[in-house]
Amino acid sequence: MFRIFKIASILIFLGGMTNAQATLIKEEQAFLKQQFTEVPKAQYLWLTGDLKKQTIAILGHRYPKIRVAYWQRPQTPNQTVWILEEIGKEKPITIGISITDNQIESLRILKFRESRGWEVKLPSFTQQFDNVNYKNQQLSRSIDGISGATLSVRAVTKIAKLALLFHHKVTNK
Amino acid sequence: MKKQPSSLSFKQKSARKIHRLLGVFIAIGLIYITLTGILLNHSESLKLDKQIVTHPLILKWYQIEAPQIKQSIKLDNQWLIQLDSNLFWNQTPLPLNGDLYSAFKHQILIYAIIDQNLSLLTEQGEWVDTFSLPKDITHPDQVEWRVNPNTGLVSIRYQDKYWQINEDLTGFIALKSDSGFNKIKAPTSVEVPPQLKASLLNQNGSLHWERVIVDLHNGYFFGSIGPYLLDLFALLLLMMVISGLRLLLK
Repeated sequence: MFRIFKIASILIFLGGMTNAQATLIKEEQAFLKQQFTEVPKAQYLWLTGDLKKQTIAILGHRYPKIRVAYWQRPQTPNQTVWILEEIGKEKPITIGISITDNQIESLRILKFRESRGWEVKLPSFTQQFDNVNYKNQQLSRSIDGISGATLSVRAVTKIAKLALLFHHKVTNK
Repeated sequence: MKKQPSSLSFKQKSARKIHRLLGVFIAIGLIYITLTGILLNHSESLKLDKQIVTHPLILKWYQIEAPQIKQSIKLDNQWLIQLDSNLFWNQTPLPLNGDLYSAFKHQILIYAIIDQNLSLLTEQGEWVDTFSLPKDITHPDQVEWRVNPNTGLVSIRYQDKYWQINEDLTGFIALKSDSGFNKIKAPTSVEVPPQLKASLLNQNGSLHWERVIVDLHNGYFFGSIGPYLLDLFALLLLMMVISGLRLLLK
C-alpha cells in the first residue's frame, strides 16, 4: 500500500488540471449526470489489505480490478456513487449505485449483456434496494429473487453489498 | 459307434467354423471395448476429465486448433503471455483479452498495449485499469515508450505525436514534444520456458482425454459409421455366442 502511495505521490508532482480521456460508456455517463448536477472528477479506492479480503468474502472471488472509481462531491461527502461490475452467468453486468448516509439511494442496471435474466433491469427489482444498508455482513432487507434470473439477482445483490462496504470505507477514512 | 446323421454333423461343423472365424475378430473387438470401458470406469481417479489433449493428430482429427502462444514478454522474472487472444500473468488468466503489442515495467506498474488500449497491471499481475489509446494511433505496434527520469511519468510516441499518461492513470494528455522524456526499449517477445508453456497449454485446451475415450468406446471417434461398426461387432458377438451354445449341444 505504501509503495502505491509513493508512486501516486510522484505522479501528482505537476498538479494542475488533467485531461483524462472519457472511458465511461454512455449509460454510465448518463447515470452520473442523474446523480450530480455537476459530475465531479473520479476518485479511486484501492482494494488492498483488509478491504481486498472483505471484497473476496462478499464476491467469492477477487474484484477484477485492484482499484475502483467512485464519485463524491466535497460539498456532500456523505454521498458516493459507484459503477461496479459482476459476472451474472457468463458476462459482466454493469451496475450504478448511489449511496447516501450508508443507505442505497438508487441502484440501476447500466449494462446487461446476458441473454437471460434481463428482468433485473426492471424498476420493480432494483427499487428493492432503495434505503437498504449493510449490517453484520447482510443487507438490511431481504431481496426477492426472480425465477430464471437467479445468477443475475445474486450478482446484483453482491454488488449492492460491495458498494455499501466501499462507501463505508471511503466516508470513514 | 453310432453314426451321427449327416445333417446334424454338418450343423456342428458349421458352428465350429463360424465360432473359430468369429473368435479372431471378436477377440480384437473385446480387447478394444474392455480397455476403453475400464478407462472410463476409472476416469475420475485417472483424471481423464482434467487432462487436456495436446497431440496434434488427435486435435486435427477433431478439427480443433491447439492454443498458440502469440506473444510472451518477460518482465523481471514474470511473464505476460498472450495465448490465442487471452492474456495471462504467468499461469494466471487475466481479465483482459486481445492482441498484446508491447509491455514494459516501470517502478511498480506494468504498462501494456493490448489492442487499442493501454492496460496497467501491478507488479503482481493485478489489473489496475484499462483506457483507450489516443484515436490517432492506428498501428499500436508502432508505439514507442518514454519515461521522464525526474518525474517518473510515462509517455508514448507515435509517428511524430506524443502523449503523456495522466497522473490519475486514467488517460492521456497530448504533449507538443517529448523533451524531458527518455526513450525506453521495451522487451521483445521471447520463448516461454517449456514448463510454463506446457502448463499453459494443458490448462487451456478444450478437448479432454475422457471425451476421446468415450468417443472411442461408442464408436463416434470414427465418424457416423462408428456406431454401426460397433453394432456389427455386437451382432458378430451374438453369432459367436449362438455358435458356441450349438457346440455345447450333443
